[in-house]
Amino acid sequence: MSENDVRDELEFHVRMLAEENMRKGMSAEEARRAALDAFGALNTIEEQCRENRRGAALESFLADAKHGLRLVRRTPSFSFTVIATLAIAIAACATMFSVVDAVLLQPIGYPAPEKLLAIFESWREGQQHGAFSAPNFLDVQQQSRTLSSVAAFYTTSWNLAGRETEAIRGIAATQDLFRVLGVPPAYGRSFADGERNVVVISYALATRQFGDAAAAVNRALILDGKPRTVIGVMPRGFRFPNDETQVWTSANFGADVNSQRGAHYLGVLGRVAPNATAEQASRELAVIGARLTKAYPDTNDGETFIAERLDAARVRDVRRGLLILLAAVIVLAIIAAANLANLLLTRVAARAREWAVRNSLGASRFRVMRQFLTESLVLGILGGACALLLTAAGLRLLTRFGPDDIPRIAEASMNGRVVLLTIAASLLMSVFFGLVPALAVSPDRPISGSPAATRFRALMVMTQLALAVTLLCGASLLIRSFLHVLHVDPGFDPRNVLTFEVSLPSTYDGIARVNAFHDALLERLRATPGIEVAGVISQLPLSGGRFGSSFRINGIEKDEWHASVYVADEGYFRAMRIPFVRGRRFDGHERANGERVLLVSSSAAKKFWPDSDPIGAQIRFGASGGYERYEGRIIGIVADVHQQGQEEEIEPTFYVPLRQAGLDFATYVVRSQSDPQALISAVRAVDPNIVAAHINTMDQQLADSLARRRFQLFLLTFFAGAALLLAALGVYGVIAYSVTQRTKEIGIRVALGSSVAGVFRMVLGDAVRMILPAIVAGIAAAAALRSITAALLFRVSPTDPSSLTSVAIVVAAVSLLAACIPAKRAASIDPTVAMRFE
Amino acid sequence: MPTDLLQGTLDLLILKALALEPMHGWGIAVRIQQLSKDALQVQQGSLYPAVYRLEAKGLIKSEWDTSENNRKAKYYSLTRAGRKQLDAELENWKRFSTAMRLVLEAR
Repeated sequence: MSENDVRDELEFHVRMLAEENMRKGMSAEEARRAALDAFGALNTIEEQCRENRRGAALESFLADAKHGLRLVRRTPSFSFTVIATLAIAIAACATMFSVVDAVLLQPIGYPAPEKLLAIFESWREGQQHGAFSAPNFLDVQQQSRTLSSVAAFYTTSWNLAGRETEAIRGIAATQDLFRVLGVPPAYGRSFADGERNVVVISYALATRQFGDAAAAVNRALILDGKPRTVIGVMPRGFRFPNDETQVWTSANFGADVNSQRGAHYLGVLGRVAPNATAEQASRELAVIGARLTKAYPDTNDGETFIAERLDAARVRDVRRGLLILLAAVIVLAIIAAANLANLLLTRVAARAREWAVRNSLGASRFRVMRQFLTESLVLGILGGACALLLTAAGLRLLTRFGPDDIPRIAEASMNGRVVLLTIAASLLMSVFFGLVPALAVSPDRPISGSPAATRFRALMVMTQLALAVTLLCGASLLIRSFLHVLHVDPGFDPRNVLTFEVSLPSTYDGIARVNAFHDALLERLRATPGIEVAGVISQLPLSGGRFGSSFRINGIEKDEWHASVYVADEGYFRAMRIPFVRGRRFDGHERANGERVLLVSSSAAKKFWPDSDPIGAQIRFGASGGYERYEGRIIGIVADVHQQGQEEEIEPTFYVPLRQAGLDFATYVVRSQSDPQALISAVRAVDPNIVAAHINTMDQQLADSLARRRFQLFLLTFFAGAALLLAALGVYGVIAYSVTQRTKEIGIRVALGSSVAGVFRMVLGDAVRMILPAIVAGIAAAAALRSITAALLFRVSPTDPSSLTSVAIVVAAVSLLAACIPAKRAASIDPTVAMRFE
Repeated sequence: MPTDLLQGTLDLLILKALALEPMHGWGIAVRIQQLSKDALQVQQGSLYPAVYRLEAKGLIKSEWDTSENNRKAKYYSLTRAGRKQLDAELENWKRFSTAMRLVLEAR
């Protein structure tokens, strides 16, 4: 109908014209032709009509939009407040969402991630997610029916020859690694078990060395002094297990692998078979674990095997913290939204007259609502545009200053999802703000003065306050936790300590050659001016590495325990200022063919020798083929070190002397005021094919270990502070408005003899009646959420009374202060002025 | 003698024509001619785009009905906004033409 109605209408007119022409004496044909001539081109006119019908709608929308923009300019401080609040709230949410999306929501880049499992050895008294030993892994691989492929891996380090020797991190893995992950090399092939001198390299390394990834296959790289053939190149962007890994080689467990059941250093992944589920695989792993415990009680007692989805395992530590931060930022946005709604309601009341005039001029209710919506949309779009800019800036700040150790945080970016969310949020909010006043406006209903409206506003402010209190409780608890962590003595003195890694190629075969290198380098370092002390350790504290072994004490045959085992020289303890407790230190004269000795940490001494003296005890480590030579007699006790960081439990630890171990990968520790360049030169002087890698200060590494906690703390405190500010503004707004509404009443009271102080007390009393219950509600909510927050805290109870009390006091003070300002104004109301007040 | 009408004046004439009673497009054209005692003859085609524009602005509204010779026709009438606009425009026009006369007849 509407398609032809224009035509029908025009036709009617033409026919009327034609009839008139016929009455003048023309024939029907002539009449029609004359009529059409007089009328004009039917098609063009029809087109014009349709356009006008459509266009006017757009025109009036544009007029509204222009009017909205003018309004924004005319009330700059109001507009600025709204736009800024919108922009900040939306940007905060979008930034946080971007992080959560990148870290938790986006699927990891492996096919069928629900079937990709990370498998751990889990100890009843010890680590829940511990590394595997090679024989355990081989048994799992052989015995599992539910896993179609299983692979194990450990980290390696290489010196890549080139114009400058470069240190490269790599992974040595069993042949199924890429099959388990589901990502084959983009070019070439993967290695088979036992293939020596072949490497699979990363896309980045291939393009860097050979210009083109495809051209890299069958070329050679000189790693650790020997040429290795590149047999495969991984696809661009492939990272396993992290960004730094550039080289994948075939794992070498050694000929005597079966005697290493107690040596745990492998990561294990498995892919669930197509006809099985992850739960079935988990159950089967537990069964295999039980079977091995029975078969090898020496090494496997008290443990089982557990499996977790790889994507879940990677974010296990950060998931809860991130979600709490996301919840916090959403709470902040809600508080901001409540403020904005109040602001707009107030403004609508101020413009009541304008609406009345427009109404009387014939603007329909719909038109008025449409104008409100357009004005809000203008504010919303401006706010959204600013939010986009702020989000981009926020993400850049985050990636620069945020913690590095949140997996995939670098992937948080202004991608399509984030941009869409920002735009959607700003449009949604502006529609909300357009509707709230639009619905409140009606020619007959008085706005904002009604008791219902007042109650609504008071309720909103109380909700804001309560939410702010909850956030502040969280922030306060986190602050306390952080302070506790800072107070934990790491066990060493990180100031002025430089560290670097060296990795000895296989040309250093035999313990004599390895020791010769270490002796030469240590001598050179100690001779360097500025270097006070130099030492060596197999795993630097806070490096994330952990090396554990089962052991037996001679004379106590029935019990076997676990401890960490590290290789160190006497210089290490001196350089790190680790206190010596009792007995004899390493003196540098321990030799491979001499008596084997050990140092033990004081917690290990207390744990395993609660009633006797460990010094003199003979220890055998539970796995051989590289471990059994670590056996020895305990000669001394050293103080504990927080090897995994100040928040983690101290591990009972043994130290093996450097020259009895044959350490081909080591971290050097140097107490020095000198330039790191001196370290590089020293290493190069001993062997130009080896490079001092990953030079860092111990101070920096200690700070980095706290980076995640510091990040959470900073964000939550920031959100909580902003929330308190907004809530205080809300309190101010509501009390100020109520004072304005009650100006006449107050004037009457004063005229009837109420004192200034009395008025002040009355207004403040109203405020207190709002503030107190809100604070109580907020604290109750914080207490109710204790099971959620507990995981983030360190040595603080989630209902720590002093934290909660201090929050209550701060919030009460701030909000009472906010209420004092209008209260004071109320107290100084001149009754004569008040009476005339409209 | 029919003169070319400016867009604004055409709108005003349409509104005035409808002020007396609702009419279809043809009737509006006839009435304008009648009321001006034949001095103004609307360009037939240009009437309709103007009418559609006025409707889109909410100054007139339309309704299909049967015409006097039993045909379906679209009838237009003034809205409240249209009536207000007409009154305002008439005021303006009177003031304008007075001013013009003063200027043009000045010695």
